[in-house]
Amino acid sequence: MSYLYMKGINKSFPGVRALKAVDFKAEKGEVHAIAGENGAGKSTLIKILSGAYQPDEGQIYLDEKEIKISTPHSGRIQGISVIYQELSLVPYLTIAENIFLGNMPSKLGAVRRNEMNKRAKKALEDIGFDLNPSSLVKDLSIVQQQAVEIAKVLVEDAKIVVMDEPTALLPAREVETLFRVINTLRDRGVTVLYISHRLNEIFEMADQVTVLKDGSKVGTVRPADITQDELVQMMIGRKPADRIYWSPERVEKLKDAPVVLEVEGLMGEENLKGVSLALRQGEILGVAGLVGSGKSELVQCIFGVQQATGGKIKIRGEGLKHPSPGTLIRNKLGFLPADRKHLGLVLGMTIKRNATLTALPKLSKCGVVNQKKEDGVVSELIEKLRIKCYSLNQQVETLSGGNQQKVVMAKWLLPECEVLMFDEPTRGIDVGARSEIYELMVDYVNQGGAIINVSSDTQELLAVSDRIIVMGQGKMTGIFSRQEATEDKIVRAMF
Amino acid sequence: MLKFSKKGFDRRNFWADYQVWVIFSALIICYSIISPEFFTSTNINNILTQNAMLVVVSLAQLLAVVTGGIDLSVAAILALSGVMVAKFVTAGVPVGLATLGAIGIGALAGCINGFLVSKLKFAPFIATLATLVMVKGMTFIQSGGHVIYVTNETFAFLGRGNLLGIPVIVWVMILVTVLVWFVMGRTIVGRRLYAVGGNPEAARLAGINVQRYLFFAYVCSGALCGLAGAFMAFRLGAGSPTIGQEWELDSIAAVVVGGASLMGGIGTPINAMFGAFIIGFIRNILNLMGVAAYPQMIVKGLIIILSVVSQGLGSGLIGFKIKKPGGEKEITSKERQE
Ligand SMILES: Nc1ncnc2c1ncn2[C@@H]1O[C@H](COP(=O)(O)OP(=O)(O)OP(=O)(O)O)[C@@H](O)[C@H]1O
Ligand SMILES: [Mg+2]
Repeated sequence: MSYLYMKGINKSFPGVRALKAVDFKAEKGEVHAIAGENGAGKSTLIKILSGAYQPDEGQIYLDEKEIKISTPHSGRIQGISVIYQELSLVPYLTIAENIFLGNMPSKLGAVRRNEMNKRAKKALEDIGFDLNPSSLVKDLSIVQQQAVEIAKVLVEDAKIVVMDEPTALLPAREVETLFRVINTLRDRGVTVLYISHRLNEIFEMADQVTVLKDGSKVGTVRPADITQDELVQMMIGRKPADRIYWSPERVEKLKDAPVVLEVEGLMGEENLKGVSLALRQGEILGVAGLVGSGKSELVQCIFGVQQATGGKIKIRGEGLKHPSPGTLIRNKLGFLPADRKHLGLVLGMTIKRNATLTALPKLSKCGVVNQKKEDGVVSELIEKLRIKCYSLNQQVETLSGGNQQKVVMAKWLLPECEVLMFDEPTRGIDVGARSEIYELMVDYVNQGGAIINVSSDTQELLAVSDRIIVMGQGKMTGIFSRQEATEDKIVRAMF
Repeated sequence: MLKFSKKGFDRRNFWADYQVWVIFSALIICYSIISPEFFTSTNINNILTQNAMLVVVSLAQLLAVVTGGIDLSVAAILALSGVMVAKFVTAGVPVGLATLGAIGIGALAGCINGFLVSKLKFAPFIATLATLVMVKGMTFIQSGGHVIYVTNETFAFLGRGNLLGIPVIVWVMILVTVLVWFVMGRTIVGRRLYAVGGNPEAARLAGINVQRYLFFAYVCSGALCGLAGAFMAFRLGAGSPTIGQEWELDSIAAVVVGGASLMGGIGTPINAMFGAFIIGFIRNILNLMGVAAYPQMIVKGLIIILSVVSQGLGSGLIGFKIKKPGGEKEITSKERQE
């Protein structure tokens, strides 16, 4: 029997069968990727493994023995640890305290700090990080925080480590660091389960990949034995639309298009030190940069999510006095935030109400919402974006991650903004839907819109952008027209 | 491949949304067993009139609760506006104008709440507690602690008269319920109030002026309490400084039994109305059974606990676990992570 064997797993939620008799097997010391469309059941499967959900039917065997995992805590004790995408570290504790949270080495009730620090340092070194164990977690970058989480898992002697889209917000160079750590885990005989929508990562890292579709297992294959296209075929049942979204003619046309948004010397509180840019009508401007480079802060400051501390914002040549989300939306500017849970969605509301929240005036007369019209436009978008749901009136909280992201997208396609700023728009979105979103973007600018697209995915930037700026340490460190941009140049400008 | 319905409801919340109707029907059955005269039109009229203003106050409470707040000052505002309407009418002000005055006083008190909550960022609990105390003080100053009796025909008609065979006060309840239902369910304002309560930061990023909507909610809540106060005075034929005791708690109980979440963003006016009737019914049934006032309070408390627990079981919102037939446990939302 395989090292880990999840047998005949069934799981239903009201209105949907999320998993249908799934058999999942993974061996000791392998990196096993789980792939599939949005809503295929990947997160549900690993939540069952980690004890966050209980299966309706099925058994789990680890090392030939059947195990029962009633809570995430009991999962951890039995050697199954999850590294969540939203990291769960305590910001104002030290690295060592976080690593040993829950089981600090102690003597007569007093924490043995020296020993703790020593062991924490060792655990971090094992995965190739040289960090001071007594510095605070809040000062670490995202990859470093992930490293701390992984060190924590090592200290707990995990047999299986689960990562649900760990790289969704990481640019290439940082992904490499994470991969190094994963390799160390593998060498130590830990089984790593890895969910990602980035296929090249699967091909680079995984020993095996299991594909789920609509809650059923399609199969388990070795990435070495198949091509990317074949994998996509397994995932979505058709060939991916291979399209170039960018065209030289469009860039040519942009030259005399009017400037719609102008930013001068914008400064922010955290890490934004004077950035200027101009966006033309019909343009897609890509923004690249590492985590903490100020690329997110740039769009957040433009939209007034955070207060800018200096600089000017002009829309169609007119200066804005007090940029706040309200005034910007009235000026036909929209912003899709990366943090969909806290900033993008009202999780307890329905798909419909979330989607139309920004477009209500358009859908109403004298303040009364025209529900027929509302149902109509939302249904249209659900189909266009392929949001997997059973009803317009389903709570967004019960959608899969990628489908939630599509609702945020829908929310900003509805109000007919003239400028849209996206922060990681395709975060957690599957390959098939990704190309549809790119097409939507291109349609949108062809009809006279303009887009600023902040993304950690260089491929995406190269696929759709007309121009790419690179941010580093709060400043603009590079600006490339699409003709001259290459992956290599962009990555080099980030550092 | 894509199948979804336009008409469908959210099945996950089915029980939370409809339990109030189940409890309501159960109580009616209890009631009609205990008291065979239950289904007589006099009795039904009585029940409706007795609880009509509790419904209005519960709707006022709902407005605050939906935004993620709470309004402890509802009953105090009710008493003040009742006293004021009696004073106005005794002083010769026409009843209609006096009623408008009462609504205005309620709205003014609501402005204080709204200002404290939206501009000064007070916790709603503290803000409305402060208002409660101030308004209570004002009520006693204005009434001197006495009941102010009024002899006036219009006054009496509005309080006890019928229109098309239905008590005027019940008409008021129906109108207010329909109005609040319409505003909350059908208008932009309602949509935005729910969003503000559900996730204020996301609401702000959707361009909603969160402060303004919070303020609006408390002002409307106050105004509704003012209206309810006036009609309570009509019904009594007097302005009493001690009317509506415990209604702040009853109204909170009503919206909670009606499925609203004190975390904000969830709760409908129709369910809050049923919730208010449930609270009223319990009082009536216990009265019929000869249970004294204090044990009644204990029963009321138990009903609140039960309804919250059962909603939690239905939607996984509280830290309870359901035992499934197979002996396996269902998961709670606290452990649910993306
Ligand atoms: N708590 C829940 N209540 C109801 N339905 C749920 C719940 N969690 C997940 N689902 C449904 O189960 C299905 C599978 O969801 P899951 O989160 O496993 O997808 P996924 O493969 O992780 O997708 P993604 O790539 O978008 O993250 C979806 O249709 C989703 O709507
Ligand atoms: Mg997922």
